[in-house]
Amino acid sequence: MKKLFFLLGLIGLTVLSLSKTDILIVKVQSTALRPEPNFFSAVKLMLKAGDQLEKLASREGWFQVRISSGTVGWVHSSAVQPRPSQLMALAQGPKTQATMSEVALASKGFNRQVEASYRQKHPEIDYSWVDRMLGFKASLEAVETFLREGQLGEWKEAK
Amino acid sequence: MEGGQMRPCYQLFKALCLTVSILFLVNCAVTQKGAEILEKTGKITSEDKELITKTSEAVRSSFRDLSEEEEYYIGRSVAALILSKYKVWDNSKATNYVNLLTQAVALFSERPEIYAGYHTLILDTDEINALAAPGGFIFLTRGLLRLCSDEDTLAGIIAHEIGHISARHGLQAIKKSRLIEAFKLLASETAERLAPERLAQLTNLFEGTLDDIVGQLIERGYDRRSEYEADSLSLATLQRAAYSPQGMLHFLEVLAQTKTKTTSLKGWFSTHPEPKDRHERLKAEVHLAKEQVIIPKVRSSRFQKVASTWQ
Repeated sequence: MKKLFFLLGLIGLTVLSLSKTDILIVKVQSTALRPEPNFFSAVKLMLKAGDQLEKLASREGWFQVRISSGTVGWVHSSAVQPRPSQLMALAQGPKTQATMSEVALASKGFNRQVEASYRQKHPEIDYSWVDRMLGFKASLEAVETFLREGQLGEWKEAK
Repeated sequence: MEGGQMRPCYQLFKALCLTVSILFLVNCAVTQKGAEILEKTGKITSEDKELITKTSEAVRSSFRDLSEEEEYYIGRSVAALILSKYKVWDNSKATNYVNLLTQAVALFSERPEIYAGYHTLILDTDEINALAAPGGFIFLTRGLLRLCSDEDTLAGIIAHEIGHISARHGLQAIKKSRLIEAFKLLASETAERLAPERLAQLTNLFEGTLDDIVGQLIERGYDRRSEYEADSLSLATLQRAAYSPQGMLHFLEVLAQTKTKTTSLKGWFSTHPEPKDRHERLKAEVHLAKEQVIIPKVRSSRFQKVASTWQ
């Protein structure tokens, strides 16, 4: 009987600790951790897909997070997804369970291995322009200049 | 069953085992195997085993359950298939400009960050069309670019395509039965890399997925609801970016006039709702927005410089 209550207590503590911490996972290839919730705020460091972040606060589509080293900064919400605890997910139903499995199965599924298999089956389909277009990336400085000169975004009133 | 005869402590312990089993098994790739083992060792009843199996099978079931990475890999192949039907216009000045504009516009969209970012290519055809593959791959034809009178109009078109991507309209074309089959196959696999026969099965499903999406993009077009949603998303993006929405209205007017002159139903006209209908809807939304934007000279002149290349 004592053993049973001890076990229950242990499970209870686990539930509490899991439910208190909001963990986010980076779902894009790479994203910047910034000191301010603004795309033109200087980059503190770069995060990569799968990195886990502790959510501290949110503001207008941005999350303030803490990474494993203790560094705190902001990431945009479109770059991350929540990783709810297993227990909370079960309580919240299939949709949240689906999100969890989404994370778990992200590396399996329609991935690099499947693409390679598809390309082997269809050697006539050319991916060279697909790979080339992924290289068309303007620097954030160039985008900022483009917006500022065009009087767009936060520069819309600028003379 | 025999519950009435059991001590309450044992019943509680059994319920605990079942709960913990469900917790760990519901997200584990060996759900069915684990449930079978538990049933064989007498830890759970056959009814319990059915419950665990059913719960785990409810995990992934629709396009919304595709991960960001899967969306990207689907998009890569959709993009490759689009590029098998059109030639690329390899003009670096024009391509750099449309990509700069795409990245700038994306920052003000509902989904500024996407797996590998947004990228745009210009297709060398007089056909009037814009295509958006899942995962951020955007295609604009020279025919379409020639109809744009200013940067604000082009920004609106790009914002519209980003709207399709951010709302995952392309992925909605995938037949549900195909996705469920793929999800089931993946859920039954424990290994990170698939065995050859499983890989072949999944590749077939991938192929079907691409057919579903490309068929919608090139032949049928999105449904009206998706097109109108992309228009609304575009308007919201333009407003946040401080671009004028007037350009989109003007573009739809020009499209409507162009349609009356052309007999070709290829491209835009076969895959989009009537320009007149979109114009009416957008006009009402723009009117609600109330803000009038005066286009600064610098935007006009930089657009004119690059537009001369695609005439």
